[in-house]
Amino acid sequence: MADSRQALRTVVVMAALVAGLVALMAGAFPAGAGAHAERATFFPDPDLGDFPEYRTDGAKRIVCKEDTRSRIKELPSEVRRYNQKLLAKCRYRSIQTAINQSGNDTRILVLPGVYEEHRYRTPPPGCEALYQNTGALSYEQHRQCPNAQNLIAVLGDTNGDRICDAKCNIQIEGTGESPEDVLISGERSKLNVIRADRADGVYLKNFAVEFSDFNNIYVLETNGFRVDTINSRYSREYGVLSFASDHGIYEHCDASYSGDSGVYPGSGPNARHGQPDAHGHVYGIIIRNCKSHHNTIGMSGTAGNGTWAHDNEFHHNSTGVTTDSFAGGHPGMPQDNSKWSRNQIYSNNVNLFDDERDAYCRETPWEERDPEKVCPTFQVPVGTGILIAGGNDNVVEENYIYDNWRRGTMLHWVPAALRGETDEAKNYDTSTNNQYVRNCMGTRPFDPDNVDFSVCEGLQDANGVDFWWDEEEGQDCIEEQPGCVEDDSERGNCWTGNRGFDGQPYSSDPPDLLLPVCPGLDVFRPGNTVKQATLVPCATWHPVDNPDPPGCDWFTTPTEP
Amino acid sequence: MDAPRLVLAVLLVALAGLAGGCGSDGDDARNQLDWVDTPNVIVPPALKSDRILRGDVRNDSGDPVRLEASKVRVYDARGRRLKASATFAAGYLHSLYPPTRGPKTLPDTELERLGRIAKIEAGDTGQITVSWRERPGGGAAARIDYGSGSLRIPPEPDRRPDEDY
Repeated sequence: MADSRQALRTVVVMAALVAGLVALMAGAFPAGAGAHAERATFFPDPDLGDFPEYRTDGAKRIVCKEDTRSRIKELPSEVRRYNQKLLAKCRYRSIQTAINQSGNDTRILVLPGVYEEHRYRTPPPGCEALYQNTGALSYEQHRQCPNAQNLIAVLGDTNGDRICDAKCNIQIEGTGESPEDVLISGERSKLNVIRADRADGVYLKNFAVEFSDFNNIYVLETNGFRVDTINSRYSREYGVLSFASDHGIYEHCDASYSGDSGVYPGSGPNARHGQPDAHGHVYGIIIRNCKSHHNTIGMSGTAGNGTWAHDNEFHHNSTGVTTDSFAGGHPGMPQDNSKWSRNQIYSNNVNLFDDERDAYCRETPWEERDPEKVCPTFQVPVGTGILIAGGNDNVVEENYIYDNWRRGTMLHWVPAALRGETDEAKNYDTSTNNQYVRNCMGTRPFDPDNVDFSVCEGLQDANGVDFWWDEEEGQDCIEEQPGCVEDDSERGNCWTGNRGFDGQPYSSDPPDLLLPVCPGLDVFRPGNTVKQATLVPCATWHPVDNPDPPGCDWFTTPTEP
Repeated sequence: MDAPRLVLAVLLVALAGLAGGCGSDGDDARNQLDWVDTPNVIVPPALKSDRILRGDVRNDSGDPVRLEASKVRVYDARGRRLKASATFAAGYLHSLYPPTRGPKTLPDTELERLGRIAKIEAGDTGQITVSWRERPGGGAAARIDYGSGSLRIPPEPDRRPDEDY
């Protein structure tokens, strides 16, 4: 039965691709990039560095505020006694000052309080111009004036080789009972609240961070980092962002109310292409046990390569998850080899693009906005679970994806030219070899806190359409070589073992018969030009000049299915 | 119809012809571009009053043409302007910077990548996507004005350009 179904699918898919090729040859639509701005960056050596481990011993510096003593009194007894001992040894009022006086492997223990780092908000002599500059500064400029754009900066490279040699393995840890006991606030005055730049081994734990103009936590060109038990909220753009970094873990985080993404593992490690590094790690960035909600996007990553997101919840965003190859200037294009498994991706129907929000965002300066009225910085299709826009060799496996009113999943081609690729032979180098395997669609688990991802059980809570694909099968071009040198002849985009509610069929566009079963059908086809065309007008969105572009239906909340 | 009304109607038709071109843009001497093939017009399934046109244009003018998406306009047969957007990008994409932030001016290479401008050399072709929203009870779109000329929008097969008037 399965064989005959495979055979039938193959015939139907072959017919479709022939039709698609005919359409392409007929010239129906002849082939003609959450992104962010940064200095030119380079990936760390994946065979150096490793995921940092939490440390409870070694050199430490203790930071506290004037009201820490009273805050400690409110803590449960065991934590209270621990903090009282630390308070007796507190010598710093500023986290940045403690970092400045730290060497490698130092733990910065931050006692309960609100940290606004006022002493670093005014420029020291010689830094006046850089404090006014909101553009992409060089690493050397950050070294010269660490707090020009950053409330707190950990800068680890002193000799310009992009490898940490000072302030490495810095651990910044809140000592309260929960992340909310230590709050670091950018007060909307700095682009970044915490910047870890070439800061190999940095470990951030157990605090809350809010109100950045760009990133609440920003990890850049860093080999080994960990963001553990952090609440990040109210960023104008990103809650936690890593870029051109490796061996990084985001875990137990709560990321909310950011104008772009709650978590953003952009320009993920690119060298592995699905192969393990010297330590045996296939994935260089891990995101686990996080909740990302009420952002424009729960998780996104332009060139989000080599990233594994598992056991997370992405919910109540406009779109739950995106990964893409459609913005220029990001190293590691095109996006490839990431994995999403055992996540709950649900109820991503929050419309931040309606007329009321458009007017509010247009008329209310950032400094005066209600932090829970998010103003989107980029456009996304409201009501979408997980969108792969120009990605290759990704795996979406054993997730519960439900109550996304437009589409549970979306997969479409992104022409290489849109990311600034000038090699015309690569124009169809996305999207290929993406696998959707054993996902449970349109089903809300009975107990969201205790989900068995090996089964598909729960209450019906449908997606608009479970699987949406533009029907394009890209070419398997080797990224590092000019032209399109194909390196695979067996795999294609594929769907296997996915389940609908209560054993019923899942829904899809195209119909199920046109979704190749794994390993897919590795024959180039340009895709459905009508579907592709409906995406294009959305590129003309502008929050002020063109908030509702004709032809783009992304900003209308879909009817609940 | 009495004589004054007849005169007014004739004048209106003439005025519409001047403003809108009545779809006869291929004859306009200032036109620099022409369709390579008949462009496709799509009605988005969820937006029945919207249209998306994609097509290739050829520069037959003998001179390079620089097009700006922000200057593209769409008119109906009576010369009334419709709400419209245009891009020269081949697919969906977005900028590196959020639209209300970043540099005030971008280099042409970035503007080209973003589909905000297109430079078409003499004899070359380029792709354009124009979308518009039709007026309730109004007429179908008839003409795309790209600043230095215009392109005729093919009538929808099952609809006359003036059937909604």
